[in-house]
Amino acid sequence: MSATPDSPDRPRRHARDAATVIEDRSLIEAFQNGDEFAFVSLYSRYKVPVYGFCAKLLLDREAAEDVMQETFLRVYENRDRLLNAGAFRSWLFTIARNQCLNHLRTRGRTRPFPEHAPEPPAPSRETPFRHLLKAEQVDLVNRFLGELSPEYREVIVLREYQNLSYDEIAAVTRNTVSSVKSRLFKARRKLGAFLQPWIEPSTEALPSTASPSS
Amino acid sequence: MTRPHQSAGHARHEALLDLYVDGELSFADQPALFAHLADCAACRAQFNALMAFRVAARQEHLPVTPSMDAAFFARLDQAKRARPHPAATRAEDRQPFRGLERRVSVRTALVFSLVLFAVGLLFARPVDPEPAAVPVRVVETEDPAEALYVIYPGITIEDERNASRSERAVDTD
Repeated sequence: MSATPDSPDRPRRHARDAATVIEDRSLIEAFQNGDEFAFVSLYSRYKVPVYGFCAKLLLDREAAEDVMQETFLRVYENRDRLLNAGAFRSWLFTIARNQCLNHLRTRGRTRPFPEHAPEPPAPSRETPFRHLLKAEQVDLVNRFLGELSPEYREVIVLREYQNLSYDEIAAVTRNTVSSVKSRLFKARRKLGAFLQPWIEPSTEALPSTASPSS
Repeated sequence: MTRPHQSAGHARHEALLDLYVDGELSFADQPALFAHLADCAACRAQFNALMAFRVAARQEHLPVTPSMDAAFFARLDQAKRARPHPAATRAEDRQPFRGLERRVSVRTALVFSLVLFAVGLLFARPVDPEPAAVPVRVVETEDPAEALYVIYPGITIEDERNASRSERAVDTD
């Protein structure tokens, strides 16, 4: 088993990532030199990913909004602490993650749905996943995330929703890459077991050689 | 249907599947994974579950509404106002020395500067004289082909060529 950089979409993805990092770096440097417009640009660029990350980790949109605001406030106030402007994305998600974990600790437990709202019934297991309505699919996925502990949820959200690399996830969660892979592996195993009733036993064609990660 | 997660070999292929869906699996390892997928219904189901999750994850849109932006910038503005103003901080920093400040005339300042200059001249160190030249003893020789000995206290250097020549001279004698 080896992780090598020769997947077909890698050069394109790396070029895109490099361009983003360079733009981030110039924006961060301008922001650190007192340019407020640079901060607004960074906020506009990252508000959706950060909000999405918080919403999926907390499973509570109201709390996610609050945590997102707190995250960007801390970015604004601690701009001088970011020594490597190229690592802005990891730094930002680290702050967001810490805020989310603090929130979860304060709240004590994960609440996938507001207490006053009755929990909608799960989609019928007789309907295959691909024939479910989009809202039902999203609901099912949220149910699965709600069953995961935060340590598994955060890696799968960072990987599947935010498309962070193993290295970036390791930096955000302050873990080793092998630990990240291990947690992803276990989380995906739980996912397979959870979705099994909705997944048709397939005799379909095998995946093509093109990588599905793009 | 094959039961999932049966063996170490199965787990290894599951790990390969993880790498594959993350775009991290090398071309060299892909045929082994595909061969396993062809035989293993559980791994195919796992693959389908991962893809289904990904599709559902990426079709969910979580927008940040303009009202959320407005709320954030209002909060940022509030935080900025709550911080102490830099000018106020500077004034506070200078507060302990405020009583020591005193206005003086230009003449007084000039006299004080001259006195300081004179005191400086009194205590100025003389410029060091040029260091004495190191005595160099030059020894001239007229025949450089002859043996040349460099004698330094404790060290004597002798050229081998000259040593062999002196041996030849001894032989001819």
